[in-house]
Amino acid sequence: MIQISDLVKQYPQTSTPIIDKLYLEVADGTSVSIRGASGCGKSTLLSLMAGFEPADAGQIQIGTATLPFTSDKQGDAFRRNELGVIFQSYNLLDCLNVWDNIAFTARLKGVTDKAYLRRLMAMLDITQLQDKPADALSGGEQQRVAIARALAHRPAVVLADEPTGNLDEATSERVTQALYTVCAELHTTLVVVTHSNEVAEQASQPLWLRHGVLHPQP
Amino acid sequence: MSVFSRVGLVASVMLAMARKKPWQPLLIIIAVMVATGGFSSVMLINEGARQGELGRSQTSVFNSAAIVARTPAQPLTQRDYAQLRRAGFTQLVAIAQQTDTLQCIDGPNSRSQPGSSGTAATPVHAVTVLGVDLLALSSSSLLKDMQKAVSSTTDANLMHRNSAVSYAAPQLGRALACEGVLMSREGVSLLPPYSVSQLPDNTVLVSLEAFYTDKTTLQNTPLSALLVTTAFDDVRLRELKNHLPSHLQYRQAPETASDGSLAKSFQLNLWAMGVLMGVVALFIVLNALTLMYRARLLFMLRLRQLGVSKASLLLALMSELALYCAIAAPLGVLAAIGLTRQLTPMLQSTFEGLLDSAFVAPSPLLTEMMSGAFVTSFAALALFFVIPARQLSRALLASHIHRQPMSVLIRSIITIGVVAIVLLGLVMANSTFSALLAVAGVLLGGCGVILLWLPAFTGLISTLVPASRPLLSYVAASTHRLSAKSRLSVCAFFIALAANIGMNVMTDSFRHATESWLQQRLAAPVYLYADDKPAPGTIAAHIDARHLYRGVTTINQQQATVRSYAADSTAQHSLTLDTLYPGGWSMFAANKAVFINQQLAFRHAVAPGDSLTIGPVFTQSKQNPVFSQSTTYTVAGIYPDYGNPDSQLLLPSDQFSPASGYAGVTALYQATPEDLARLAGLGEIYDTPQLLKKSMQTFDRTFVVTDALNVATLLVAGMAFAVSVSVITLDLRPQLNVLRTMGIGQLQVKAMLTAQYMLLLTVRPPRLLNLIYRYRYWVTSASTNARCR
Repeated sequence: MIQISDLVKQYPQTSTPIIDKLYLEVADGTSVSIRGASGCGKSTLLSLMAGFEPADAGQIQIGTATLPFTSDKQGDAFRRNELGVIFQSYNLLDCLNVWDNIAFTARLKGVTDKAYLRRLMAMLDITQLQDKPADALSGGEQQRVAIARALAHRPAVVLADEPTGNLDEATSERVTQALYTVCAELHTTLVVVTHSNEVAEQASQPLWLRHGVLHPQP
Repeated sequence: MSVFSRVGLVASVMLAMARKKPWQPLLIIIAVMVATGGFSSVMLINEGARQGELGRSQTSVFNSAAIVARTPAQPLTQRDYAQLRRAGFTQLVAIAQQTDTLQCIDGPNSRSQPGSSGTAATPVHAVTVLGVDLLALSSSSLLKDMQKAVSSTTDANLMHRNSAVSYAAPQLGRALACEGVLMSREGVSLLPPYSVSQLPDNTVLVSLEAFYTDKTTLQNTPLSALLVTTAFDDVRLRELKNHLPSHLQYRQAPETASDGSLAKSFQLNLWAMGVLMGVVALFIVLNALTLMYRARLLFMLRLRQLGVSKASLLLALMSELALYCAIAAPLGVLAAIGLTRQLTPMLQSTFEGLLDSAFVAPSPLLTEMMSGAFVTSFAALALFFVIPARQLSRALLASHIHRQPMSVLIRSIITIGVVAIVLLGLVMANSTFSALLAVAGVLLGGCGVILLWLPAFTGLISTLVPASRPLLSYVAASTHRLSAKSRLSVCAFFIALAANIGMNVMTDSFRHATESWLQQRLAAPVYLYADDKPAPGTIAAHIDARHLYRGVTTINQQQATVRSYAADSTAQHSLTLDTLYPGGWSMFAANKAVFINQQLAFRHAVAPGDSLTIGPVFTQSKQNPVFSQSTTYTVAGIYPDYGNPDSQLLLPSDQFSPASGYAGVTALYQATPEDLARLAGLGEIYDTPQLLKKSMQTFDRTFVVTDALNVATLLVAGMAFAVSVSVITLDLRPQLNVLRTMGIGQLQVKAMLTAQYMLLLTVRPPRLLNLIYRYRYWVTSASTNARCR
């Protein structure tokens, strides 16, 4: 369960908060999509939910974790065990190959399930890339590897920032299908920030972010 | 998953990163190698100098006066020795020596010749075997040391009763350690040597009985010398000289009056170079770490975002750095040992020929040196890296890492603070060491100011470039960006450059001063160098011969060197004076005044016209008085010391003559070539240009080692700068490609890159010159004044 209440975030040298008393509730195993204009604060909201930066006010409850964390250790454990993040710029570890990138989060959590990882890779159509260095992949390939990595350690929550931004229509459809299917299988809560209506409409709770607040309608 | 497994996982990713970008570990490994290599070599050289000085400072019979043959054609014989001892000169001890090889032969029964099968792998040592009449050594401290060495060693060699006992300096003793016996090429069987510190380098001492064998006889290897184990007084020495057969001569003991002060200056010089190299290495290490830190910034952020804890990240980083140190530190130490071994012959000749000291090739404990270098370099790396790494490990977004540039006000305050501290350091410097520290403070403070202001300065340049020149604007902007990344390596390069130019300026200045001083002081056309003062009548009457005398005295319980000086017009012209008391020369000629050097004037706070009481004056060996009472003189004038730290004073020549204290030099005026040919038998004759040339060669030799270290430091710093700029340029490649797609030619791009490096270099000359000026000024004046205080 994700519960966000009265969340506020304002960047220095700006006149209005980018997130302004935001409220959100997402049930376990369900999904929510967030759409909105560029620069409206979608990625900031994900960053706050992941604990990458602190909010100015309000509270975030994700499962048993309450943000802001009382210690760095708590935050690290949360990200390592409970959270999967699909970054807009993929953030792959360039020096590792595809397999090691995907297995990294699972190894870090100590739950490497090779059969599961292979199935994940097959679903995302990246099996043939497993020995390729991460920096030799195209943008679309990197995006799919980033999705696989976010799901590799079976997290309770996945935060996806534009997961299909660099994919063609056919691949986008397939990857979206895989993302929602795996999350449903794992009973993982999915929060997806996107510009794509096709991706957003598959979520159980499609929302729009405007003036720092989430709305059910555009 | 355990913490250790997580650290292992992160460390493996770090190493994968290093494999991907090998310049990162390479830069660090090279930087650590340079730092440990530079420091270790300076430490080894100084240790060699220290051991040499220690060895020389111990009273040893081998540094004493001796009776030797005048020519090899008529050698010293056993009969000469016996006659002299029978005449009561029982302080004389016969020695004989030859070069030989020693090889360890294992097992009590294997008395085969060296090189036979079974001993092929045993190393052969070329040594000087010294046979000494041990019975005659009865009262010498050397014999006591030898007896002590034998009694304190567990004698495991009793089975080799037929082998002779031998002794060697500890270093050679270790090299010759052997479980069997040592066989010489000449067929002498020796027990492994006992360690005695007083013995000369690479020399094995045996009794004369053991020295002479069937192969080595008095006929083919005559006695080398009769050492004087206890110094003679003047009367006894005259008697000895009278007793000497014509084919023998008395050779004076090497002088040790300088007390190794030149060697100490040389060592200080080396330490200064070591510190300089250390500072440069520090900047290179910092630069390498900064480049690695910048290159890994996003990578480490990603790891943190994936849930890697900061503790795991720090531990993995430290493990990686430890690995680099484990590779680099031993390599640096090995390089230092190799370098020191290469330099040893040159250092030995410099120390022995110029500094009247000794240099002992150091034999370091490898494990101790390597572990010391590892611990020091790792501690330094960890210290440098822990602050940015901690900062990095706390952040989870790149925007949190990028610091806001420091405000102009804060930078100004810091700059004023740095300048104030540096100035305070310079003012407070009251010893050579603190003066050197102050100079280091100037250099480091200057670098601090460069670090603070360089990006702002290049930023200002980029705003001044007109927008109508897009390529030039890009060059300026790129330089601004480069300046922030490369400033540490640039600092290292400029410290090395400043030191190099400063050192060259100083050396040139000293060289010029020394040359001018020598040209002025070497007033006579020819000089005769002889051990003994030429007897009256041996020099033709028409030759104006001026014997030079030297002695030692004490002034207010401080030692001073006394030299003779003539009072005639030629001598007056040859002595440059800082200040002259009115009528000083006539008072000097009348034995009522002395000239003193600057050091003596500073130490005793005396000025021309003041009275100065000097104690009894003794000859250099301190055995015989020149005059035995304290005398008060007027200070007639002060002459420059040209950097010599000794207190010196000049007395009129007739104060010495005809008494003892002859310094071994006679200045000859109006001598014809025929006269010189006749005088050649008395000693060695040098004309002034020859002496000048010899002196300047010696001078140049002194600076060979420091020059080499200086150039090496500059080269290393230059290389580090070039490498870091190249590495940064790799990051610029995508942007350069963009420029190429915009229609900018390859040549233009290359010219642009060159222009931005040049711009980076040319923004510093005012500061650089300032540093050089201060460096030169303070090293020369602060250290000299500090010595005077």
